[in-house]
Amino acid sequence: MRLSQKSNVAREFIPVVDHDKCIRCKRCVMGCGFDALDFSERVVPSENHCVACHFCTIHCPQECIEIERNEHAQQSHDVWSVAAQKRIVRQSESGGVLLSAMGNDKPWNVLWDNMLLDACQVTNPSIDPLREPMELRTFIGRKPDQVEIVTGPDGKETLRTEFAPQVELSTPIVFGGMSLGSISLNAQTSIAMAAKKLGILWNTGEGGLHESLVDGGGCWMDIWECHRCRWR
Amino acid sequence: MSHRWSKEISGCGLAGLISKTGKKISGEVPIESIACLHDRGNGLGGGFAGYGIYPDYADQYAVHAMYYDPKAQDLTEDYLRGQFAIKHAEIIPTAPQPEISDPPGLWRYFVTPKSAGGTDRTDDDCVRDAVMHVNDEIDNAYIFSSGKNMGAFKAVGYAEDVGRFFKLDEYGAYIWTAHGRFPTNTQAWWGGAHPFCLLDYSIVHNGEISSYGINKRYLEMFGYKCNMHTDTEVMVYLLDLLIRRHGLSIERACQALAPPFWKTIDRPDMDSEERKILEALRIAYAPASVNGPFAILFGHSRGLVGFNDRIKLRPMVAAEKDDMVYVASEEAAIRVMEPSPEKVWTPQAGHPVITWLNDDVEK
Repeated sequence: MRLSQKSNVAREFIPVVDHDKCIRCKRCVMGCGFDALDFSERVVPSENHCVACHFCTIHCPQECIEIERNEHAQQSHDVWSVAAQKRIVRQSESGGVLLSAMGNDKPWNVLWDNMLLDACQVTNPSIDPLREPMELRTFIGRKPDQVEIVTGPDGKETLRTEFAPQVELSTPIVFGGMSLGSISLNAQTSIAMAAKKLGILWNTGEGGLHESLVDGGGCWMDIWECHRCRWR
Repeated sequence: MSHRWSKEISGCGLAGLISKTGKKISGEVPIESIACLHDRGNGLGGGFAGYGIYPDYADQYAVHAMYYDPKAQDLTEDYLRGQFAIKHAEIIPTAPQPEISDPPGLWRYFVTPKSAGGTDRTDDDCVRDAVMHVNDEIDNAYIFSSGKNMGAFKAVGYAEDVGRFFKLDEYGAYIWTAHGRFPTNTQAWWGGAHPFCLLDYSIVHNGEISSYGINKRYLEMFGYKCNMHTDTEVMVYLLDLLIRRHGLSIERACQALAPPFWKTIDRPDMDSEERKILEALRIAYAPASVNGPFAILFGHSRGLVGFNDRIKLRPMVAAEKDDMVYVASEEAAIRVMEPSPEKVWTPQAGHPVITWLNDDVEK
């Protein structure tokens, strides 16, 4: 649903401007990512777009904007929660599945925290971990269907098959592509160091690659994520 | 108390022999040898493979089939007639044994593929495809042996009883392999007994293949279908793929199945070309590598290979006397066949014992 369309969901947040302090700089109107503020001789809230991101309250040089919760928006009760009411109304307006950012804010189990990897190669459970060697070296890249080895007249074998470039991991784990632009350089550096020490890959995410993490010798094994655009 | 009954000490047993001069040896010999390993198995599978047993039909593929219902036989024979010129077909002769019960229909066919019609498929490809078709598409029919001048014989029972059931004393072979089964992960049935065969290759195996799922998925990409409900099957298909179709030597194929450890490959004194080859085998054939404990005997018309996993989690002993080489799970099984071998040794983990027929022995 386009933000500019009028919705039947009651507004949840209201930006309140102290017009006596406001100097009409319009910084809040131009900077709002949700089209929640208009300017018509003075700053006025528009429609019901405010999500309480607080961009305007932070960037206002006069500190004259406050966000208030609309006490008279949808009312929650034991049958229909506000979230369910909003979902139904929003979905009925667009006819489409509601899309939002990844992740889930519901109180569901986080299975990842309970995941146990039972790494067994020979027997399960692994009855003799000292005797069973674990080899985890992994290669990422296109593999040939077969290997051709030719024997020369002197009986010496040589490899004829040419391989596409392979990325070698000492263990089959890579850091996921997080929004690394949103964490500090120190945090990024520590991830890169960990990846280097473990012989695995880290991922710049959409945040880009800081020049201090570019190593001429290619020692920083990284996945450099390239985006066609920045997220809005 | 000399025996703890609460502990099950069984395991598969295997034995094999080869005459490098191509001398024919009666099936009684491997029967005696595997009987010595009786206590390893539990009577839920036994089998033999012999090379050189069909001199009268040496140019035809000897197709051994088992049928669990008459309709399966009709469908299979219709299919075989469409694909092959059948020179001879007969019931596999058996001598009923009280220990062997409920045999399926056991037939053998000596066949030559009809012209492939301008395609570049070899006769071997046609036979392989036919084996895969019957085993996959026709219910209750299984082709369990398909090489030239060789054959597998297998059943549910103790191996020595299976040998007598198939009257192996009437066959002479220059290579025999034998197997007594102790099934651990899958049910006991006739098709699940060893050896597992495709074309010229046969495998008997002690151990378990924990990479079965990966190997099976890899083989499916090359048209192999695993229908025998047991892990060992993948080994024979992998060898067919690597040796017959990809042209690797037996040594290199064994290295693909049980590759040297990375710490060995990484050693600074490793020859650089050898390192390249080993790396290539490990990278390209990672899904073909076989994890888990195994001792196998791999028979083919020109030789016998004994082969262990990389850390020797299953026993295997080898011995030599004159033109004979013997390989078995236990030395006792060798000394039944040859009481005074010249040399007895325990093959190194991951290093195949490869024996070839002498070059002057005719195929």
